[in-house]
Amino acid sequence: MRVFDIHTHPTFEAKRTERHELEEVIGYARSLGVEGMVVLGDVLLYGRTPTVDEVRMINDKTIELVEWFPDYFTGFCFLNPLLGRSFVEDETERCVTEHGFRGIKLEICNNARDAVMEPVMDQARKLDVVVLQHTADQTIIQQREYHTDPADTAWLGRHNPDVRIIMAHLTSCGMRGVMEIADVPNITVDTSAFQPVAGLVEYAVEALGSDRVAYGSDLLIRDLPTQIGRVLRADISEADKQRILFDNAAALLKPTRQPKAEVEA
Amino acid sequence: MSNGMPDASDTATPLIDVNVSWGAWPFQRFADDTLEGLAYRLTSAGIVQAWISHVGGILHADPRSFNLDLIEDVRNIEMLRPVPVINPVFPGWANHLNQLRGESDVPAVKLYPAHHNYSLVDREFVDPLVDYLGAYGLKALICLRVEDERTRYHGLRVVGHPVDDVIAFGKTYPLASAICLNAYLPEARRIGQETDSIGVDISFTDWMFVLEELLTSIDIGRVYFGSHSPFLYTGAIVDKLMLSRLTDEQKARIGGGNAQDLLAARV
Repeated sequence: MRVFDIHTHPTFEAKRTERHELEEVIGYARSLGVEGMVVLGDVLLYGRTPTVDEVRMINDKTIELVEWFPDYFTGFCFLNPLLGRSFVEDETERCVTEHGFRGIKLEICNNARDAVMEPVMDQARKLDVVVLQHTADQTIIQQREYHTDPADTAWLGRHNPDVRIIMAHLTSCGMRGVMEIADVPNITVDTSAFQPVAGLVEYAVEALGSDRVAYGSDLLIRDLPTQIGRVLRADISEADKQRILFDNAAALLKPTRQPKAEVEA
Repeated sequence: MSNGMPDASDTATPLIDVNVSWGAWPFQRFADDTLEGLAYRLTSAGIVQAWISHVGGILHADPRSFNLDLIEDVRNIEMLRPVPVINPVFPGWANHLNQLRGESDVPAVKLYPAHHNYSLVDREFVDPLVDYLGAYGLKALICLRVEDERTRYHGLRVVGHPVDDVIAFGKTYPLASAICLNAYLPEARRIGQETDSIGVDISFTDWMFVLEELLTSIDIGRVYFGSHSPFLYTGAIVDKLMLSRLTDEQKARIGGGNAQDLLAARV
């Protein structure tokens, strides 16, 4: 069984910024069967709403990580949508076109329903990349002004049915979160973060199908064996585990459109 | 296991789990309908002994009937060691504990100060409890929380018990034998650094290389294996220990050696 981690922050809070420190993480992950990781960036390094320069610095670090370990790390472009269409277009072009990133990462700068998301989704559509939206049930947290609830991610998916979206954090979305996206087929939930609450992976597989659940750890914040273990130890079939642990991530990272030259040929 | 990940359940380390629950929790449906099923799940994960409490004692005003039920129900399941839920502000707990000890070999009691609404340094209630536990060699398992505060049922407005109160408990009762359950890594670190004897379990601790991080703040003799089953996936917490980079000796200490020492040291 193969493992690919679709949700990581190998450098976080300015910790583990050095190459040898990342080698240590990769070596350990490999020992657990993890063949590769998506790097989402040190997204809260400068607070909730980073400036243009700060977003660029976060993505510069991701670029560096991917250049250090191109066979292991896949980059996602972190964005602050509040910075406007021009910057969103420039930064996504830089990260995706110039550096081969395969997705866009959104954190807690704004709610996913906000109008500032339009250029983000336009770019995802244009560049044929997946959007990973941090999501958490806002019933208790109550930060919906800028923090995205599963209902908001579902709204985003319904309004952009041709864009593939990953709703982050199965446990913080909970059963309601799973059901919010049940009828939005372009949204996959990732398993990352929080404690490995028993039963949730089974619930998600039953409600969404195993092809809409993807493994993620949220490292460095989380313990790697625990996060993999929540999938491996769930009461689901081995085929479902394989889809969650590897296959779905691989599919999400692939372009949906053939390169133009190929199409023309 | 056929995947590339090592199989933690193949370990020769016999695990003693100090943090297991049983019963119907209103906010989460558990996988196992029978204690035999739960015991099988634990055993399959490499756990040879589990200290188990009844969740009915968390929310119900009087935990006594749930403790009695549990002792009866686990009587024929050797690997399950009953841990009564005790509320020291609820009258009659000492007589009740006398009765339970007469019926079963009780290694510890479990305390839920957040749910039962008391301070661990309220000496009117806690002095007698600490004296009792010391007299009979019982451990206090202090449960800081049952669920992550951010994902709990919205109507249950119980937040995690303040770690400051646990630290104050450790300073007020330096000879008390206690393990703090379900502490986050920063809380567990503080307990290690600011108390001399209170232990922690590993169930809620989290970070990359988390157990190595934890051991920079607390002596290994104070770290215990607790899975918080069936709330969490048992095997995932076993993996946290057994697939960590700790040495086999360290894994054995945390996995069961420390709990075994506690049992051996009892009066």
